[in-house]
Amino acid sequence: MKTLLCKFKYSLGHTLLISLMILALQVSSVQADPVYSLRGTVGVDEQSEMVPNRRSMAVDGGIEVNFEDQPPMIPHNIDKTRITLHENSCLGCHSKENQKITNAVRPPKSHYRTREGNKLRQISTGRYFCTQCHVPQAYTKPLVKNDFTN
Amino acid sequence: MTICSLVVQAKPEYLDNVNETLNTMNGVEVHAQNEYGKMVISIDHPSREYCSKTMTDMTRINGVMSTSLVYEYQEDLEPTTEGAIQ
Amino acid sequence: MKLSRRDFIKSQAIAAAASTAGLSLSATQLANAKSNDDDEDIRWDKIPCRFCGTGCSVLAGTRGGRIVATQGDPDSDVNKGLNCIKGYFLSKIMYGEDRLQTPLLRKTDGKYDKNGEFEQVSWDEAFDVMAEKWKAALKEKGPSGVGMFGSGQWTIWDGYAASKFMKAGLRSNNLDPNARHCMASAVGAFMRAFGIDEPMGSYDDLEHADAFVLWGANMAEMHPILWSRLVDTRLTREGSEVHVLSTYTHRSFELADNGMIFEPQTDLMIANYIANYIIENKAYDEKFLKDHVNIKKTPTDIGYGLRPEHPLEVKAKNSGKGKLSNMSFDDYAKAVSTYTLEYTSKHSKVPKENLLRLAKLYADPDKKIMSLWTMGMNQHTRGVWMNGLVYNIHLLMGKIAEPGNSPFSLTGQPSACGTAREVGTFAHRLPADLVVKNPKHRAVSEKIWKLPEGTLNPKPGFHAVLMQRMLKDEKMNCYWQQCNNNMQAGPNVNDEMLPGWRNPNNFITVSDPYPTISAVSADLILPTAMWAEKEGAFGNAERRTQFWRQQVPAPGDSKSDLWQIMEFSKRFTVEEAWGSELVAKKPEYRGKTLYQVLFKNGQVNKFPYFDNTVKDQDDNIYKNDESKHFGFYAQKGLFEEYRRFQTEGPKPGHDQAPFDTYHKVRGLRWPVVDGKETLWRYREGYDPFVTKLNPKVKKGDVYFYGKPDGKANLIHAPYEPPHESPNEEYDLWLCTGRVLEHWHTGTMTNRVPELHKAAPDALVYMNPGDARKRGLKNGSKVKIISPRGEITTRVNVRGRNKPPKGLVFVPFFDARRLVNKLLIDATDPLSKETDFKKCVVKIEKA
Repeated sequence: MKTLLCKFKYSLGHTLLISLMILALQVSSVQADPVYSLRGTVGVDEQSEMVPNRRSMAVDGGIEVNFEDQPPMIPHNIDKTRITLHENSCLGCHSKENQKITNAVRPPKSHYRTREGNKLRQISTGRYFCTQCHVPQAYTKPLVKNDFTN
Repeated sequence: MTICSLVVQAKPEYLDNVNETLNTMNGVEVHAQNEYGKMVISIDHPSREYCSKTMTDMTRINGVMSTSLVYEYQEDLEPTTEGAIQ
Repeated sequence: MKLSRRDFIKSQAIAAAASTAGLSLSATQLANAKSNDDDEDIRWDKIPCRFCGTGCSVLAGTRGGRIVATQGDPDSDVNKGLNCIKGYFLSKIMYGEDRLQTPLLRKTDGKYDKNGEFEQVSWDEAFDVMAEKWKAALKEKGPSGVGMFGSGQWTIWDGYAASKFMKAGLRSNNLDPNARHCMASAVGAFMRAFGIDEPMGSYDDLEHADAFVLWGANMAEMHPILWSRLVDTRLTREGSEVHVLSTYTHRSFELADNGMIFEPQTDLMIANYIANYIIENKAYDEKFLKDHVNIKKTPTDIGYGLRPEHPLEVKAKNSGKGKLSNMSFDDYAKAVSTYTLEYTSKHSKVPKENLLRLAKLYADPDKKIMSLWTMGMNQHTRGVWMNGLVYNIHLLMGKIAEPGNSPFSLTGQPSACGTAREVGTFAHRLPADLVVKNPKHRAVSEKIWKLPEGTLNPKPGFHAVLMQRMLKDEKMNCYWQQCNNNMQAGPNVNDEMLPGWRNPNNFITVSDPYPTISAVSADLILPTAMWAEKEGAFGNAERRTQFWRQQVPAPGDSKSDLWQIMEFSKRFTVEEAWGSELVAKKPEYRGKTLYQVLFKNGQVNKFPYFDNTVKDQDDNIYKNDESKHFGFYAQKGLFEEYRRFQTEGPKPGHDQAPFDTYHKVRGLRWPVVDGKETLWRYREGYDPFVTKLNPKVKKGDVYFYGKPDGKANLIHAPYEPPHESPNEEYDLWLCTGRVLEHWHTGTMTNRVPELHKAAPDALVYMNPGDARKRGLKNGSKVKIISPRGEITTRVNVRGRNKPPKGLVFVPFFDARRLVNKLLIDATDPLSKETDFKKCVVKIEKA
């Protein structure tokens, strides 16, 4: 639409009459907006631009959540974090006991329940792999704007 | 704010009638009921006085045999958006 | 939505009262009890997750015609309120700013032009042009001139309507789902071994098993909720252990008691070694074998599903053959005796002690074992064989069809089972496990569909990869893709896909909510309603059928796949589609449209629809755009007609519950008999069909009723080399796959900013030694080159995937780096499923 309008504007000038004509055209004419995939202007058969170097976000006080029940994003780098059969280094800071000292975010009550909903003293083993729900964020713009509102 | 929940025992044959009347009362919600006339009700209203008055009103509905308060919560401040409860 | 303490307190209060009264409240009732403020009128309703085959249930919160929140559904047996990171962001998947809202047709000077630019058109114009092209192709080439490519993401009725439209309407079996790329090998093996598709067990096995063996699957990333259940069992159950097999180290190895990295393709050896170990140590269950198992062998040297003129196919003695023949137990024992510990360890490069530990686990009669696999085993040029080899181990030990003893094939798509497999949207299938080749199956289908005798085409149609070859070769001219993104997900994009799509004699239609690379490669794009914008049904990997109501309207002029199929069928008369000879057999159909014959047939349009027809338990009223448009409850009519295949067809054991039931429950696992679901099939006491079909079976005993003699097939298959292996020039294996944060080609997840930021780019995961050798380090820019194409990206040597020397991994979610350009279109010759896990590449500094 934009392209169409521009073309007319530049070739025909700016009189009121012509503006009105353009308005009329705007209503009746078909739209020829280009359709872009996530490749943008790069064709499927062409080579995309190189991946930029990325860095994980580091945000004091955490990244804002969008809606209730959204697991908070991890506001720091986790390259050195390890979760294995024998250790979970997330809990080194975030467990109920350790967060009192480290002041890290404490897992909510839901994490101290079994699958059936019974209370637990330790964090549920079903939630042992933190990164299934909590992930860090890179400094980058969204590929496409998202219109979600809560 | 005051939130309370109660169990209302109604005569089974009056259940629909009771349900209808309860639903017209401000702040009152019916959450569950069974064929024997047991109903789970909540009252959610800023004023505590309103809640206790409503409970008394309920006993006067035709078909209600008893009401029993199960849970009452009162707080002066409006809720905040903090404290993710999950 | 404002999160308030009030909501929490209120739900606590109500729960307390309910428990006092002895009444149970559902999670939706509790969620609806929240947010009583007038400005916060959020309606909550259940809906299955849109992503993987796990089939988690979520509660969707709707206000003002938009989804404003989602949360894990606590009432769901699958996920008990938990979601993975993708599931938590379901609320955002429909709201990418670039949603397509009107049909778009390539045009120049107001007319369709293959080389024109996309212009907005009306649905009428879109279907006019499309119908003209389809009719021309049908006239010139017959039914094989057109084809449709669907999906395991289709709802059950989308798939059913498509199957009916293509197979009954246009008499073309050129209908295949992208599940061909995903599950076809699993299906092939199920049919060969048991005669009925889909697992005998259920997810409940995750809580019943002592040990878990992951054959190539990376559940930690691809099936996170099932993984959390598995982890729960591993960390709480005494003596529980986890064995993980893969061609590279991934996140699931973090939990492994026995992690094994094997050389690609040698999984065939490892499975045979375990069988050999069991036999040599006489650990097998002799009685079980005698009573319940037939031993068979499969033809060997069967090629690699490449084009027939490819040297590998010319060389193969039994290209594409799979007819089974009998084998004695002694011959079988002899055949697997090649696979000794030494031999297998030497070729697979897995240390002997690890292999031995795995074999001992399977051979221990006291250990209950769940074997799990997905794409590692299915996307394999010997995928059907390999699936079968794992069944062999379970059959040898009798560890099958009971709680905790469970060979379990997982699925990648939300309705790979429910739609692609059960409805039968494959090129060779009809609903409820029936096949087009079988005259009896065709006859019963024609009866249910009220078709003239001989309507259904007995010849299987083109499968996914063959469709691309046929487009390129101009043997098929029209192609309609719905609900998937094959230009990014299919193999060998440069040589075998794009040329066919852009061939001037072909007309390509793509239905999608977003401008995918498939969409921009097409000639006509149809804007499509997705997920919560339509009433739907999915079937997950444990045979659970789950329904949802339409929560919100679709944006602009977008319409659901179902609407598109039914509406397009109005464009064809039976004379055009069938020819006068066939119509003469049913003169009452003369002059009618396919829509009238297929959908207004007195069955599909049997159930009336009014504006208040669809309600939930709280009397909230939901819209149903398709039913409103067509004037009858289309989804219900289609599902009820489909159910007749389950009860009137010759293959028993597929029964589902009536339509209305599924709107009330959190899914049911079929077969559903008298309202009761089935958790374990083939065993008396769990599966009602056992005594129904053979009253002599004793309690606790097994009866594999999918086969005529009630016995399962143990099918021997040897190791055979892969289709290509690293050589001097192309010196690395390339493996492709998914990541936790994105789903498949990322059409939805790339548009959720949080998920994009969590995994923005497809990197090449590489062994640090391999990188050093090429002068590369973490973050280096590289070119990855195969004989078929090249892409660029950066190196990652310390991320979540840690390949051994000689192998690299690149995920396929990233539209900007089309890794599938590098892949070879080799398939399993039996299942026709592409091998996305093995091809050769080289890597250079960019």
